[in-house]
Amino acid sequence: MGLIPRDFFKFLVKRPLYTAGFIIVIAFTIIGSIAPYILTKPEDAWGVTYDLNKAFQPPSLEYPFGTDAYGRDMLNRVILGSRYSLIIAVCVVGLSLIIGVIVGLVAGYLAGFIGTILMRLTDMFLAYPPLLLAVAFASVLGRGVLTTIMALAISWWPWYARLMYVSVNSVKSAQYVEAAKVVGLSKFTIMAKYILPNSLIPVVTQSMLDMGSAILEASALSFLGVGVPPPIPEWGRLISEGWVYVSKAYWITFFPGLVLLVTVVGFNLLGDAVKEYMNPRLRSIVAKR
Amino acid sequence: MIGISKRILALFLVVLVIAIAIVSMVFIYRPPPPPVKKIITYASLSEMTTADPSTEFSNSVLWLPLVYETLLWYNPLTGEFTPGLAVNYTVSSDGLVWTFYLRKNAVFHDGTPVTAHAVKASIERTITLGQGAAYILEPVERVEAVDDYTVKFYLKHAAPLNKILASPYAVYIFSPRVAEHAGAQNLTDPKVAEWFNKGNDAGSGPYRLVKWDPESEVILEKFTDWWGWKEVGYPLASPNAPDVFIVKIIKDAVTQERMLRAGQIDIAEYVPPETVEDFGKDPNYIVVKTPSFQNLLLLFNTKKPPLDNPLVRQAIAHAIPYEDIVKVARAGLARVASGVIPYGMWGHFENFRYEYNLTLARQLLAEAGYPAGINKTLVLVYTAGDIYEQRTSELIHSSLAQLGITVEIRPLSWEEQWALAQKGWEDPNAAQDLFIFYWWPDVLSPITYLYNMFHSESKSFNLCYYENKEFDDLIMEAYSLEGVNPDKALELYRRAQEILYRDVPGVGLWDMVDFRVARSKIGNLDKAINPAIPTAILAQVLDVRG
Repeated sequence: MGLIPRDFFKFLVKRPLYTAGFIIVIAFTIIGSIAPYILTKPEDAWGVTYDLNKAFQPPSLEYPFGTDAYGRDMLNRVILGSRYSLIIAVCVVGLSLIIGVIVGLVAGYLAGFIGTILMRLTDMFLAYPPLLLAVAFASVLGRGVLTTIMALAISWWPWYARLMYVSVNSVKSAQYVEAAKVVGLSKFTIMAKYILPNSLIPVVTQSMLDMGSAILEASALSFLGVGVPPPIPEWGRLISEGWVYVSKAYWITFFPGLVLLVTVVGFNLLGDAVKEYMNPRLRSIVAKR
Repeated sequence: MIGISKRILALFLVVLVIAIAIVSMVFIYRPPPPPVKKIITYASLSEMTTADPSTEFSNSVLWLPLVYETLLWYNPLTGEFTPGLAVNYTVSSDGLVWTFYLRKNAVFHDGTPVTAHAVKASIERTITLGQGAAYILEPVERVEAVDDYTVKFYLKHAAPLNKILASPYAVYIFSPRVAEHAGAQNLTDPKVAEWFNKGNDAGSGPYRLVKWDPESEVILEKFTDWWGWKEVGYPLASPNAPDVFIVKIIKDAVTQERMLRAGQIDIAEYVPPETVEDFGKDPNYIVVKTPSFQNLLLLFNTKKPPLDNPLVRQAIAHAIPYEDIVKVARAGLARVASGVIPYGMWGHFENFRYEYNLTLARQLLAEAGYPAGINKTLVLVYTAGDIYEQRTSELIHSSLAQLGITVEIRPLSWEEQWALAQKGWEDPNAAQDLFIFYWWPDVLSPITYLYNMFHSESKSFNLCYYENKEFDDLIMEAYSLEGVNPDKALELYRRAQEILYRDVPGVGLWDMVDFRVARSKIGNLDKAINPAIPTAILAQVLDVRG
């Protein structure tokens, strides 16, 4: 855990709600990573078999989350689904972060012609509703996990670029930057060494908050039939397909919905925790209460 | 003194408030007077389109046959004709001259009597405008009003004019005074179409159009002077028909279901099929199921290995769990297809089903040279967002996995799906392997299914890239014989389907069953539905109780 400073854990321990968020995210990550190896009914999870005699079984010891219209175990489907939701969330946010940070950094520091061009480009992407843009991209690129990630990332990065741009602007007139210029360091060095580390915090904290939204957006794409193709049990698909059975077999849509809800709350709590931890002023205010 | 009067005043106020409260309570709780009019609300999934009876060829078919009349009505399931504005007709021996005798007591909603001149003017306007479904009148050379109540049709070539004139499009009769109402020079003046599309009607049917808001609501009110109300024993009229028929646009099936349960609508055009079983068990609702001529098909790429081998195609045809697909995909509201012509249509035969038999399928696959399955992923495309196609695809995917055949399901928008399939004629390897899609008839003949999807010259929809001259010749001969020698035509259609059954360029998966759910006070709902008139409820036939 060398990546995470030790006092972050101290900080967490004092705040049970944030601890819960942290545990949820860790659990989600672990389950998502090892999902294919812990399935008890892999055929059900991957949707390669079906058995109508077992259709619509309510939750029981054998089927804790019940079974769906094809007689497949919902728990296994949800577990496998976590893998796709995890991959999508991490990749979408990660990819957007990389693009957004670079664009925001360059545009913010260089300003001038390049900066204007980059920011107008960002504005262009911002002008479209993200979901609409993602749907348009998905229909051009075809469907699949990769294209879902691409489509969402393409509509996602401008937000980080904007945030980064504002952040860079507030940092670039700081005295240490002026000092670096006077010493004669190259623009690249100044950006990489002085601007980037000091303007990254707001963007990174925001990205933690966005993990949950990314899962929801991917679900929305699945719901519109342009996300991950069937029969892969992506959470959004499980929820949308179960919806028509809700009066007859609530569990088909309820459990995936519940798991999605818990995960999103977990990411939001962790995002809040990181934000608070990174912002000492906020931390002291909260601690004093 | 002042104190007393204040007290009296206060008391008076209290008494007054109580009195007002009691009086208002009495008024509020008084049971509302029973409705004088029978109002039935029907939820439609789609917005209405236009209101011009000559050119409309879309969703407005839902209400047009209530406001306008045709010379005849036709039920494709029973093959029966019912008189409309015509009481009788004769046809010359060469099939080229048709004479229709009109009823004498029919009047248009504007008071003008329905005459042969009106029939001639209506049909001629449709032909002249040439829009919508006007092409169905192609065989008509000219129309002649012999006298006020006799009209003659002269045809260019023999054609089943009785069926044509009973279509739900293009053949409605309307008052010739519309030009006058619209302030137009003549009937084909665009002002007439404008007048119609403002929500005016000039029909002679059992209902008048009283509110036209195509995006949200259309209201029809009983036309008391309709001849059918007075004619005893007329099968397309009921003494208890609704006085007001409201068409509400509710675009979502789940919302329709909720509104039906809440009593906000009386008839739903479409609720989720999964809920139909529950509605069927509930005595407060009735469910009416009718065959529909829409079917779902799986087309094989017959030019791309391994599906270029008929044995592989046969193996797959025997490995599709048809019954389960109907159960899961349509919640049982479909019929396992037998051949590519849907059940209920002339030309459909019951002996073209493939048995679901994995042992046989494995045997066929081994015979084809693939004893251990196929080492190649087959791409199956369907229209994204269509849950029935998706579920069908998933079951095919699961079932073929047991044969050692891996299927990649690829949902595409219809445009993408079709564009991909179009590549198949140039380069079969660039196209999909398996293609799922619906077909429904433009003409009520087997030819629409057989030609479009399997004839070698039908490049747009023959997405199996199937070429078989014997088959092509058979169906074209059958079609030419349909009007002259229907028995022979039927035999040829049967032989053509035998070829398809053997070659398996495609398989019919299921024939859709249409359903409507309504509150149980609505009787005769089954008689108010005609598969040739999609989405319409013939309200004049309904028997509304209570």
